[in-house]
Amino acid sequence: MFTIVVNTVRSYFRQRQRRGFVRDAQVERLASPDPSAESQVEAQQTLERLEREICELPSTHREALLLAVVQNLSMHEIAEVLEVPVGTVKTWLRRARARLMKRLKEHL
Amino acid sequence: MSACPEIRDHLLTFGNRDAVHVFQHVANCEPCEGLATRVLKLEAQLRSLVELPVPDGWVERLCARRELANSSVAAERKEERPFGFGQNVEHPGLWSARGVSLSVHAACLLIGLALSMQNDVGSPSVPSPSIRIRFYEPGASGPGGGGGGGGTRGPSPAAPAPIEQEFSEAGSGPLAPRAVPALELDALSTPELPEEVTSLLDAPFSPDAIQLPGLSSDVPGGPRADSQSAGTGSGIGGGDGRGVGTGEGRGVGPGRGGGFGGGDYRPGSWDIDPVLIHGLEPAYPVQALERRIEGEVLLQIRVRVDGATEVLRVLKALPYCVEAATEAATRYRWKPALKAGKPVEAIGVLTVRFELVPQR
Repeated sequence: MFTIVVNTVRSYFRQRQRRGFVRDAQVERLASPDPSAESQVEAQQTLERLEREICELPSTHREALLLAVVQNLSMHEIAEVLEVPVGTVKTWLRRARARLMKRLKEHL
Repeated sequence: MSACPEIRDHLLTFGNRDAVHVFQHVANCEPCEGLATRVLKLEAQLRSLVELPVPDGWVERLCARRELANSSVAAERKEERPFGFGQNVEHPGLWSARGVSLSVHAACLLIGLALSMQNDVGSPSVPSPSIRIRFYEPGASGPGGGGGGGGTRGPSPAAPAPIEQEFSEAGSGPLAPRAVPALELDALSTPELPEEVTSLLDAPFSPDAIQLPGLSSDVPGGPRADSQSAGTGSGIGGGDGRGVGTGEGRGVGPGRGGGFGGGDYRPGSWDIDPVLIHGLEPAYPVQALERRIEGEVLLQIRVRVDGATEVLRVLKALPYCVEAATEAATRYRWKPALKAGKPVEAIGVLTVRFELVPQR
């Protein structure tokens, strides 16, 4: 049903994986209110690391995470898009976040 | 110290703590609060990250695709309805689709029936206890009430002749009817007794002077071994064994000490056993199932005149099963026992057998 959507998400991540860019806007958003050079560098490193870790997630986990975070889709909607049970979506999201938290322990 | 598993799962799944129970828990649990803080930070980073410029029109395409899917689903539902009512019969493949659908449904139905029959034939998933009811012999005399008290303290007689009737149930089973020799209490009426007997408490008494009709020292069940009358006097205890409650003691003759009267109430005899009208087997207690406990629960029950059941005592217990058996027994309703056409109370033993694999 949502084959095009899923393919779009996949291609989006492939492109992101190749480019691996982090924009300054996001760095500023994540940095502390004090826009010192040090905090900006640290925020940039965090985002780069986060992006790397996302790209290393299994594709199913990535898609579910993107649909949940970017699109704010509900569990049922994600399940419908990915054509999997709701429980599977929950499992993917839980594992994706758990893995990211484990890998980014020092940044959280 | 790690976070609570349930809260951890919720936080990682939903990426927030918006649920009321999670919010309240996190406020009071330090490890969970720490985890929630880190999850929220990660979520903020994720949302920040994905706000990066995505491929042109990616989000729009996603939304449009979702809208399109929703509208197409609605349209499909509209179109499907006429099919179900036999319209648009010219639709290609309709009959083959119907045939396939019919076949699949029939197969599912048959499989379901087969599985249910197999379950019935095989060992039941939840065994149910079996019930067996045994009443005491109809027509036999029921155990009587307690015996009467012994004689009162008096002058020491030359030839003590303690005579006590015992109606207790010891040694003959809990409720086995016992043949009780009829004590002709009426024969002990005072006119036939010397006048000294009537003034027993006041005057010294000589047992030799008394001739008691129908009473002798060889009465069955004579002196009880455990009698507390260590006296040297003679006591006569009389009990009514025909359903009278506590025995009434009448002491005759001098003696020291006295017997103890009284006993459990027992209903009398009946001609026709009670007939069970309504009653269900108790459910197998879960704890007993888990521990694979099997055995019997024996309940002594009394079937009242109104048909209700009263559990008198537990004769044999089984862990976790007594309560279930008792509860089931009290719900039983009976057609009461009959004696001379009149309903009377009856006593029986209800055996509830708890078996994991019922014997067939």
